[in-house]
Amino acid sequence: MPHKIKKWGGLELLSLEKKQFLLPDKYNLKKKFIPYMLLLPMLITIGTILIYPLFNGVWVSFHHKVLTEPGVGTPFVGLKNYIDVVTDDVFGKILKNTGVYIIEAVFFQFLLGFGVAFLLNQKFKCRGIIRGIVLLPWVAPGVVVAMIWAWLLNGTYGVINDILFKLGIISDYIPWLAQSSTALQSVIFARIWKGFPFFAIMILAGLQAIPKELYEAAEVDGTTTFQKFRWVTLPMLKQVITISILLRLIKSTNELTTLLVMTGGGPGNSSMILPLLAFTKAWKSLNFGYAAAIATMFMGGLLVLIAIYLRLQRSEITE
Amino acid sequence: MKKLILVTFFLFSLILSSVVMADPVIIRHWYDVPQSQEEEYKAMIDRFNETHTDVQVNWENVPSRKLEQKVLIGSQAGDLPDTFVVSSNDLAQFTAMEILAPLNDYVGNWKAIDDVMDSLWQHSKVANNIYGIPWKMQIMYLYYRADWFKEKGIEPPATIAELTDAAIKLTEDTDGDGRVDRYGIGLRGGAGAASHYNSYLWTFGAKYLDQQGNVVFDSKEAVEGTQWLIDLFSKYKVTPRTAPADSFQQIIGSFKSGKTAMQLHHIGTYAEMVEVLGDKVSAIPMPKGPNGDQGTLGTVHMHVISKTSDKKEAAFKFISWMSEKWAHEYQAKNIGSVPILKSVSEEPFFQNNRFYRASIESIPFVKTPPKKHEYNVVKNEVIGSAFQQGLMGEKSSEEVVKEIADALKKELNK
Repeated sequence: MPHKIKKWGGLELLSLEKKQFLLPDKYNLKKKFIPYMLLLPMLITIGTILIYPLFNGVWVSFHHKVLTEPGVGTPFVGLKNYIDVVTDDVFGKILKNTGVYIIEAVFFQFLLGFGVAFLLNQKFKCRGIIRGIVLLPWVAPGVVVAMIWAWLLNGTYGVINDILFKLGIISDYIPWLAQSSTALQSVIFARIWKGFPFFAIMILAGLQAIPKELYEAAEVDGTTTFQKFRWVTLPMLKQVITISILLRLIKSTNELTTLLVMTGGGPGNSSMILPLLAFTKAWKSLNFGYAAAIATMFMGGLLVLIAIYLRLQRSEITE
Repeated sequence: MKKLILVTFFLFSLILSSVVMADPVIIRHWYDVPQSQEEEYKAMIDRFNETHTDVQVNWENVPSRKLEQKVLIGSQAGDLPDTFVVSSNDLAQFTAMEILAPLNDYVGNWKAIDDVMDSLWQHSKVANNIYGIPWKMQIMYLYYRADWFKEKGIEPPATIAELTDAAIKLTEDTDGDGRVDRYGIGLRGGAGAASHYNSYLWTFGAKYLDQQGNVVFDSKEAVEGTQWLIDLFSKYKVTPRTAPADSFQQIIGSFKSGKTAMQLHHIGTYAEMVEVLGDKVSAIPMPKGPNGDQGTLGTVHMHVISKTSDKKEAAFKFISWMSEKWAHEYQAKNIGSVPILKSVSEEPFFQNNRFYRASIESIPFVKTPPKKHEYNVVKNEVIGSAFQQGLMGEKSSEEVVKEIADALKKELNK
C-alpha cells in the first residue's frame, strides 16, 4: 500500500516500500500516455521514411535542384517549377493519359472483380482451388506480369496476335505496344488483369458477411433477384466497394512497373503519365525540382479526387 | 642502459612489424557485368587480388540499368565507391555533377600510356581533363545473314543505297501465309534508340554541333537521314512493324530468331549471335552514306575514381592494371570488347575474327555525341519520342529534326 506522497515537478508521486514510486490513478496517465508510447516506434518509422521525405519533396518542388548544376546550389524559385510543368508542350496530352490510365484501369478491375466475386460466391466443385488460382495475377510480381504481357502482345511473335490471326480476326499481326493508338490501352489491359483479383477477394469477403436473414426476409416480401441485389446486396457492399476503389486508385497512381517495362511511356509519349514523367525527369534529366513539382501537383489532385469521392459516398448514405 | 636498449629494441620491432604486416588498402568497386560473364570478370578481380598484396578490390556487380541510379544516389548520400565504370555517353553528366577525380597526374606517369590507341583518349576527356582509363570499347557495325545474302546473290552492302536495296530484296513472306515474316533490317525505335539514330545520321553527314559549339543539327543532311529511316519503316516496309517500340531485347531476339536479315549492334553481342547462328552470321562496318560520309557510334567504357575517395593512389593502381595487357586481352577475348591496346589489336585472334575486324575497321570513322550533359537531357527526353513519332507518321522528318535541334539549343542556352 502506498504510504507517502512526494512532489516531483508538478506531479505528486506515491512512494511505496523499497523506494518505488507510482503515478497515482487520479492523473489517468496510463490512459493518456501509454497508447502513445506504444505507437511511438511506428510513428518514428513512418515519420522518417514517409512524412519527412513527403515534406522534403514539397520543399524541393519550390526550389531549383538539378544535379548537373552543383555550383548553382538549391535556390528558392517559388512557383517556377509548377509553371514549367503546366506550360510544357506535352503536359495536356500526359494529363489526359493519366486520367484515362487510372480511371479506366480501376473501373474495369472493379467490374471484372465484381463479376468474379459473385461467381466465386456460388457453390461448385474445386471452389477453393479456383479461388486460389484467381489470386495469382495479383500476387505475381509486377515486373513478371509486365514482361509476360509485353511478350504476349509482341507484334512480331506474340501469342495473342498468333491466335487472332489464325482465327481470322486480324489479317496481320498488330504492333500493340508500338503504335500510339493501342500502346496505352495495352498497358491498361495488363493492369486490369493484374488488379481484378483484389476486388474479387474484397467483394467476396463482403458478400459472405451479408446476413442470410436479410435475403430470407426479402424472399418473404416477394422481391425479385434484381431487387434483392439492388436493395440488399449493394447497400451491404457499399463500404467494401468504397474502400477497395480508394485503395486501388491510390495504388494505380504509384504503380509504374507495368508501364515502365511494357512501353516506357512511348511510343512518342502516347502512354506517358504524370508519375512516370516525374520519374524520368528525376532519374534521367536529374531535374529534381521539376519532378517534385509534378509529384506534389499529382498528390494534391489525388487528395481532391478522394475527398470528392468520399463526400459523394457520405451524401448517398445520409439520403 | 639495459632498459634503454630493451625499450629501443621493442619500439623498433613494433614499427617494423606494423610496416611488414600493414593491412592492404581495400578498394570498393562497382561494375555491371551480365550474369553470363560474371565468372570471367570475377576471374580478373581475383587475379588482381592474388598478384597485389598492398591493394585488394571488393567488387559489387551492379546491374547495368541500376548502376547510373546507384551512382546518383551514392553521390547525394556521400557514399560512392572508390572506383566504378562510366560510359563515354554519361561522362559529361558525371563531370558536371563534380563527382569524378581528374586523372591527368596519374595517367602522365602510367607505364602503359603509349599502348592505348591515341584516338581513345578523347572519349575520357572533358575540357582537357582526363577522367577515366579506357577499358572497353564497343563500335556499332552491321550484322547480316551471310546465308540469305548468298541465297539471293547479294553482296554485303557498301553504301546506304545498297543497304536499302538488300533490305527490300530480303523482306518477304517465306511460308506463304500472306504475312511478311522476314524483314530486311531491324530498327531500334524503343529504349536506346538514340544510339542507332545517331549512327545512321552521322553516315548521312549530320552533326549536332560545329567547332564553336553552335547547334547545327537542323540541316539538310539530318532531314535526309531521318527521312531515310522513316522510309525504311513506312514506305519500303522493310523493318518489323514493332520498330517504334523495339529496344535491345527485341532487335537482338528478332535477328537471332531469323526475323531480320540485318541489324546494327556491336561486339558485345557477337558471342550470343555466333552461338545461335554460327557461320550464318557475319558483320561489316557501317556502309557509306549518299554524300560519301561514314559514321558510327563508338562507346568507350572507362574506369573512374570518385572525387571523394581517399585512396586514389591505390584506386589508380587497380584501374590502370585493368587496362594493361594481360587484363585487357583477357577481357577482350572473354567478355567482348574491341581491343583498345595497340599490342592486343594486332594479335591474330582479333585480326582473324570477322566481328573484331569489322569493329577495328570502323575505328577511323567512330563518332561520339556532344560531350555535354545538356545533350544527355535532350537524348533522354526528346530524341527517342520525336523519332518514334516520325516513324509512326505523326511528325515529318523536318519536324523531328527541328524538335531535336530546338531542344538542344534551349538546353545549351539555359
